[in-house]
Amino acid sequence: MSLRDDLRALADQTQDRLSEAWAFYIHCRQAWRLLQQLARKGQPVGIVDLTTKRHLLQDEFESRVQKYTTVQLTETTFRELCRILEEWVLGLIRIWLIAYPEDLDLEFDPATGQRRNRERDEIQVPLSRLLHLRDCDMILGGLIEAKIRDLSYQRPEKWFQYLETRMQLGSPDLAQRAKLHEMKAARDCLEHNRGVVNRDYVNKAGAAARFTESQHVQIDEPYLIACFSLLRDVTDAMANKAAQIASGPKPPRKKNRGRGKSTAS
Amino acid sequence: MIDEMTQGVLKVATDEVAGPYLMVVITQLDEICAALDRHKIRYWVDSDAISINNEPPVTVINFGRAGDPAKIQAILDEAG
Repeated sequence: MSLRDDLRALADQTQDRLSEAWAFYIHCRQAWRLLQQLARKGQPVGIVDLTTKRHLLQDEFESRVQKYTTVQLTETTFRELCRILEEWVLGLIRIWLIAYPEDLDLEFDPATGQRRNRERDEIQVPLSRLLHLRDCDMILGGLIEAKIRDLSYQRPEKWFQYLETRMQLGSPDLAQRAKLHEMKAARDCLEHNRGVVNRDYVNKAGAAARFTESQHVQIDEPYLIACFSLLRDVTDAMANKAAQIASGPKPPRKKNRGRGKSTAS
Repeated sequence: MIDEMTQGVLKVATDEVAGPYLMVVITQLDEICAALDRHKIRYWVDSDAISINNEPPVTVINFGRAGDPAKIQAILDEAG
């Protein structure tokens, strides 16, 4: 497949995953709400435990549904959205680097086959990781995966910075980026701090922070809907711009990107 | 305020983790939301409603973890 086809396939796959995540959320909530309403009306929901032969008790069931739908279900769906975002951006970087492996090192000059300065290489790889690889494609593939893995532990602003210095998409815009940073900060807070807002969240979310320290991250439905909409818009805009770039000659590298070191990594 | 679903008093339900919520028939939604808005209560409404056996559709008003059930109940009682 061509670079353009690869990009389009990734974008389609990402949009499909977003649609599936939305359907999962909305259908699960509707099903739970139906049961909640039956419980409120005192109607038996007809669920029998085959081991004990007992009907599901409706006591406490109604309020449990509230927790399932507005906490556990929304948080599960939100985590999936964050995974989709990460896999979209890192997937885009992977596809680009496979097409243009020279972009692994922005100081490499394809015209001369040399680096432009002698400072530390952007990527340093232990020889032991290369010796078992048989050809250049395998070595480059290994380097690309190492770079992707390295980026996956970094903040989204680093992902977008890395993309921008290679592809120059101009998307997402600053306002969208701020919201995406907040999303990732909220996800990290749920994942690593039981949802209690700490300094990490405040720092990572920046101006788009929705909570202050010691509050609890709440993923409510309007926020979830806004996240879906944001990811759809961002994915679509980035995919269109990427396809446009992939159709033409490779864009020239940005000149003003610092001197040596890892300013572009 | 009367709960049109049960014809009893409209009562705020609550869950320790999820916070308070109200299950209401959609014909009451505007009136309840107006009362909540007057008191600047933060809430969100499910994006759909469910009707069982052709009865009036019911939706849920959610207040989240930070919701204060006593305050919300007082607003509803006062509005009724």
